[in-house]
Amino acid sequence: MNETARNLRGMVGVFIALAVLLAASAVLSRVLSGSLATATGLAIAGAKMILIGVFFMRLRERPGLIRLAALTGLAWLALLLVLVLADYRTRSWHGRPAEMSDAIAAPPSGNSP
Amino acid sequence: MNANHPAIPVPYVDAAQRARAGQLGMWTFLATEVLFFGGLITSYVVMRVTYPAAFAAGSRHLSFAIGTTNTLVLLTSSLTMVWAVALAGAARRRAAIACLVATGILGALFLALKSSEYHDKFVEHLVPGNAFRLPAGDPPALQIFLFLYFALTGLHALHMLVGIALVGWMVVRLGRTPAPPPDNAPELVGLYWHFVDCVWVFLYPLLYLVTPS
Repeated sequence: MNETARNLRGMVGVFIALAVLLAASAVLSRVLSGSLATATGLAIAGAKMILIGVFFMRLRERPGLIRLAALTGLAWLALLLVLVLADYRTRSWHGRPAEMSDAIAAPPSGNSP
Repeated sequence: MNANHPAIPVPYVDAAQRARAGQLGMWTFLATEVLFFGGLITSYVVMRVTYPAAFAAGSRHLSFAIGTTNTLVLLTSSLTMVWAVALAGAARRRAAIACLVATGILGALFLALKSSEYHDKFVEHLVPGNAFRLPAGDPPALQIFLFLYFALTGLHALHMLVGIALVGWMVVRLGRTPAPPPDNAPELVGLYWHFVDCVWVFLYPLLYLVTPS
């Protein structure tokens, strides 16, 4: 019983750390901009994932086989992202559809129906 | 039936082996789930590096307050879930059921907030398709961001519905009399719940915190 109570209290500590990370993420997104903001947001998300995985999902107590299974999804996702981006970022000859511009549309001339 | 442990079905030798097999099975399933979301995440990354201005504009159309509140709601639901699993393991069934009910309620609150945000997007004609109206001063590729927003959060919401159903099943199971023989089913449901929480932890910065470069 005592061990359960200790375990429940320990998890509150993990939750507080997660809430602090969320607050940091929300505040920093208002302060930073551009790729630094993106990198910070994703780094904080990664830290939250590690806390959830290690403590809430108890990977800390699990044997190597389970930890390996937990990592495989992320490893495959990393492969997918690296190979797809290597293709997209080096293939300069494929065009974008003209109607999907990233530039702000010109204001419509005349009255729209 | 197993000769040495009547409550443990074949092919397992004992409860510990059965628990390990369940954990390995659930983690393997979650690895496939990472790739299920991974396809959409990859589309998101490719489109974001192609249309950075549209993604920053799209993020401004989402509710920062709802996104942040929903992240806190899910993190809290993960805490009540981890309590439920610990209490169920310690055979404190009533307390475990209370924590599971709290988890389900927090999950429903998340979906309610998400629905209200979806409703706003419909009212503002920001749902990709024929009724879409591009707001003045936004790039046309805004539709791509909004499509990915609905696809990613929709798939996540579907997982939340499954999670809430599993939590309900655990409540019924733990509430049964006589008590079922203890196993690690609550732990496996907990793993699924925490995974869905982890997905949202990444969707939050990817959708709600995009700033112009």
